[in-house]
Parts: sequence; C-alpha cells; structure tokens
Amino acid sequence: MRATFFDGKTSSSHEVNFTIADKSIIGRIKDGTEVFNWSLKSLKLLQIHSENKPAIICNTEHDTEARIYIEDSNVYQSLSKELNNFHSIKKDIIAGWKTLIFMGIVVLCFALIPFWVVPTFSGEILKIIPSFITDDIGKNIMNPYLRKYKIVASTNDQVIHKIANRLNSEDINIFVTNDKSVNAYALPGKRIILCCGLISFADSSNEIAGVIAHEVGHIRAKHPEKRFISNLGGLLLIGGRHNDSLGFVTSVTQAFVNSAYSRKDENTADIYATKTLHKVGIKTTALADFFKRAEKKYEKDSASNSELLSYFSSHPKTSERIKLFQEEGESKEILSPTEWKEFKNMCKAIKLE
Amino acid sequence: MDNINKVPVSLRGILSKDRGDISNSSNINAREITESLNYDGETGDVYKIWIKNFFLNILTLGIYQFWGKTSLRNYIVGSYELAKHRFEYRGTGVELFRGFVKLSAYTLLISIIIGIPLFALYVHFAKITPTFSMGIKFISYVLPVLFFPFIFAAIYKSYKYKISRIAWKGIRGRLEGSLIKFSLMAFFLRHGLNLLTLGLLSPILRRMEYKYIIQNLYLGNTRFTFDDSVQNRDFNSIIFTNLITLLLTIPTLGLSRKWYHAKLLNYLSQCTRINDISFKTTFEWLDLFKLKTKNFFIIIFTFGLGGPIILNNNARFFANNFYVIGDLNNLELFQSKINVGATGEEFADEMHLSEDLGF
Ligand SMILES: [Zn+2]
Repeated sequence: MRATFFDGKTSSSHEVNFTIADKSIIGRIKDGTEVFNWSLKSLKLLQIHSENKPAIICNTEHDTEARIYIEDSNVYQSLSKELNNFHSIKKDIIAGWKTLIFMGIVVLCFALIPFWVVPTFSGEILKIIPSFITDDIGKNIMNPYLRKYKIVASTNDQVIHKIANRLNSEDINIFVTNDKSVNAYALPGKRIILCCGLISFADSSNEIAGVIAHEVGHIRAKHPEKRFISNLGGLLLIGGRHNDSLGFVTSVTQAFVNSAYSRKDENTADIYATKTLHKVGIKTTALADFFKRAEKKYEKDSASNSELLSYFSSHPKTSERIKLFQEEGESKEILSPTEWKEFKNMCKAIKLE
Repeated sequence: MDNINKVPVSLRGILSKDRGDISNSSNINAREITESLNYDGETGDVYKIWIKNFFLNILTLGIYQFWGKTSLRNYIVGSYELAKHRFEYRGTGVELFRGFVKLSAYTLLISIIIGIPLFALYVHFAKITPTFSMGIKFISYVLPVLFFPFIFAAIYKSYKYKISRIAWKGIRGRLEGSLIKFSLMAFFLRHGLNLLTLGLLSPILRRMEYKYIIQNLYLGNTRFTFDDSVQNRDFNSIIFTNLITLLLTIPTLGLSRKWYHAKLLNYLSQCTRINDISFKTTFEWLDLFKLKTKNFFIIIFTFGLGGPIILNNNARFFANNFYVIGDLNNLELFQSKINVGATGEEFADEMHLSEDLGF
C-alpha cells in the first residue's frame, strides 16, 4: 500500500510502501530501507480521508512529529478494512466521547460551586463579607416587599424603640408594615418586619416582645444571611427564569418570605428568646399563651385562614414550643397600657377579616 | 516537484543540491518558478463544523469552544496547499483549555492582589466620604487602561502559539521574539506614535512591526528575513500613497485607505524571504474593498450566521493572492524543538484581535 511519509525531522517527503504485519505497520522506501515501524496500538488517525483531503496518521510513542499521508482512497479503504474500520486505533480527540465526558465533569464542577461549595461554607463566607454588603442584600430583599406594603412604624417610633431597648437590640431595624398576615420576618442586614396582622392578633406587649426576641435570635445567629447564601444557586435559577432584574429581586423576596428555617435554627432562636426574656425579667408565659391561642385559631380555621397564620405554619410544632415557653407566674408588661394601646392603634386602620 | 518525487530518495538529496547550485549561480532562473498557494475549503464543510460547535458549546456551557476552535482551525489550515503539500494544524483542544485555565488563574491572582487592598479601602472609607468612594471607583475604571500594553503581549503570544502549531511538509513554524519588546513597540509606536502623528508615520511604523515579526519567524530551523534594500523606490511610493489616502479619508468615508493597505501588504510580502525563496502578494484595492463590503453585508443580512462564509471567503482570497517565488525543493528544512503553551491565546481571541494574520 502506497503513502507519503514525513519523518518530522526534515522536510523531505518519502514515497513509501507500507505493510501491516504482527501488530505493527512498517513502511519501506523503494530500495527496501525501513523508514518507520509503528505498533498498531500507538497509531492515531488525525484526519479522516475525504474527497479532497488525505488521511493523516501519526503515532503516539516515538517520533510523534512524523506523519503518514494517504491520498489514494483505495489504499485508505483497504487500510480501514485491515484495521477493522479504525476501531482499534485512536481517533482524533476532537470527535472523542471521552472529551465530552470530561467536559461534563467540568460543567458539574462549576455547578457544584453554587449548589454545594457555597452552602457548605456559608458560615466561612459570611465572615469575610462586610456588613455593608449584607445590609445591601437586606435592602434589596425588602424593597420589592415595600412595593406591596407600607411601613406604618419603625424603630424611630417611641414604643418600638422602647421594646428594642429593653431587649438589648437597638442595633436592629424593626419595621411594622400594613401586611395583614400574622407573620414576622428576619431579613439580612439586621432587619425585622412585624406584620400588623401579628400585632392585632397579640393580646399583650410581652407577646410581641417574645416574637421580636425570637427574630432577634435569628439575626444574632445570622440565619437570614446564611439562608440567602445557601440558597444562592436556587435563587440564581429562579432569577434565570425572569428576564428583568426586577422579577429576579421579587422572586428572591418571595422565596425568602415563603421558605422556612430548619428545626435546628428555630430552636436556636427560641432558646435565644427565652434567655433574653429572662435576662430582662420577662416571664415567657406570655409567649406560651400566644402560641396556645394561635394553635386554637389555627385548628379552627386552618383551611380558610392558613395564610393569615403563616408564622405558625412556617415554624416548628406549636405544642413543642408551648412546652419550652411554659413557665409559672406572671411578669410586668414591657409596655404600659397606654403605650400598648398606642402600638395597637398603629395597625387599626388595616381591616382584618 | 512531480519529477523529483519519482526519483529515489537516495538520489534526491544530490539532485536538489545540484539545483540549489544552479539557482545560486543564476538568480533570474530560479525566480521563474512561481508556486501559488491553494485553498480548497468548502463553505458547506465550514458550516458543518460551525453548527456542530454551536450546539456542543451550548450543551457544555461553552467548554467545548476550545475543541471547536481547534477543529475549525484543523479544517482551515488543512485546506491550504503549497507545492502539492498540505498544511497541517497540530494544536489540540486540551492545550487551549489548559491555556484558558492558566490565564484564569493568573487573572484571579492579579485581581486578588490588586482588588483586596482596593476593596478594603473602599469598605473602610465608603461610609465616611462619598468623594473617597467615588475616587476608588474611578481608580478601578482607570486601572484596566494600564494593562493595555499587555493586550499586545497576548496577541504576540497567540501568534507564537498558532505559528508553532502549523506544519508544512512535517515541519512546524516558529515565532521567536520578546513579548515585552513587541508589546511596547505595538503600544507606544505602532499605535501611540501613529495616533500622535495622525497616521503620517503609518508606513514606517507598520513596516517596523512587520519586520520584527518576520525576523523572528522560522520554518523549522530556517529563519525568514526581511530585505528592503532593493525596494526603496516602492516604499517612497507607499509613503506618498499614505499621504494621499489620508487626505481622501473623509470624502471617501475611509475607503481610500484600502488603496494604501493593499499597496503596503504587497510591498511587505515582496521584502519577505526564506533562504532564496521570496514571496509575492497581488492584493488590489478594489478586490480588498469588494471583499470587505461583501463581508459587511453578509454580517448584516445573516445576523451573524454568515460567519463561516466570511471565514472561507477570506481564506480563499488570501490564497488566491499569495505566491511563492523560487524552487521550494531547494528549501531543506529541519525540525526544531519548541514548546509554546496556549496561555494568552484565549485572551487575544476574546478581544477578536487575532484575525490580522489570516487564520
Ligand atoms: Zn423563627
């Protein structure tokens, strides 16, 4: 079989006759001198023969710069037959399925970053993120929420400031919004949202203090920031479905408002709440009463009003929490009767069904 | 070529040596042999590769691009033929991928080294003075400009890589030369000084850059040379053409410059030599203008889907206008050991700066 051979060392081309014998391919020039002897295993088909292009074959063991060019299609066909349709020899990597698998693995590794690496090391990542960034994240989560609801009161107001002061959480921004659901949220950047629904549902200022203490517990443990970071992959996927950044931000907020913390995180916040309340001399009985009342109401109209009591549905089993907060005796209210009345009045304008 | 291939190898060395002697003694005789560069790539084939690359790029989130680029180059380079011998592209996708990973690592490292102190300053002062944070922002915009000369280093690196992966008759090309020298020359002279002198020095500056590349270009162990001793009169006419076309730039909407570019390219090829082989290009301003206009309309009307047509047209245009003068059989080449990685290649490609060389 005839072919053109380049030894890769000089530019002279050799017309060779090659034969396949005993698992190797041997090329000889006219006078019988052997110019190459390559094992079939080391062969690589660099270019498939086509109408106007020669097949190019090299070997991967030695003289890797050397090339066999096969122009004649008959020679190519018979070589192809001899080598079992080139099945036994390496084809160019460009067409290889191995390359595709390799790329798949690389893609997976990239996907692992938001879905596994970031959530796993969320605590460590949080340590290096400066507070003004988490503050910005919180602001961006809150903004779409504020397009739907209005702030009726904040830490600037005397009454709320008083509660925050008593609970040693003056550094936290507490907002009361005209949201009629019975709910409260802790957001990144030390923000708490209290819905008017919750305030109307409460019977005493100590109940509100308990809820705030619980949310402060989440904030002190950086649960909102951690949740944001560990859900980053999912949030990005949600964001990817929206074309505008507004939609993305809204869906992030939605995800934040709808999803719940883990049992462990809730427990941490509860324990923080009991400790804080004890420290400032408030018995947790009020909170136990609050949950008992909620449980009753929740049972009664769980089907029709589940949205109204979302705070309880997104938190651990109420009976367990009642056990935790059950305590003998009464304590003085955190707010005076007039202050409590003033607090409640803030939400009076909102009609609750 | 045909005849010599039928002669046994043992005799061929002697024969070509004889021919070498003849051509040395009478230069005019050797000059009569003119080989044209041929290109037989088909637009349809380029499309097949292009479409395959497109879908595999999507499937692999863009990682296939390194392999895709390689298979396209394989096809384009393999479609060139000179003196009955095809060119061969010997680069691999893995090389490009490795280069990309390396470059990303460097970029990350540099941004960390520069970014962290800057970020710390920003964090520290952001809340104190808005002016200061504005200042920091300004610096972060200006900083990339300082990296501008490095773009030329990346371009030169990508030339080095590509040339080292192109082989003819089994012998690879090679580009030596310093990245720093080239990038300083390209940044301060070819672009900076050119801009300052409103293009008046363009022929001199372009010739300088081209000369630098050619004098560092090898095929195997054989070096190319730049010989402008005989063509002085031609160069004077190019300087004149430059002046005229500069004056006509505005009334002709820049089209006049094609005249200058065609003339300059032909002049530079004339000055290029390898041993006693010389080169000739026959670019005409009207053809260059037609090609560019055609490409422009293809881009517009196909919404970018005409890429393969343009690629193939450019390659064919280049081949149709490129000639080698002299007996290529006299050119005995020997492989040289080289190892150029693909770092920088990606960077230059990303900036679409590597099209100048025609591949
Ligand atoms: Zn909670």
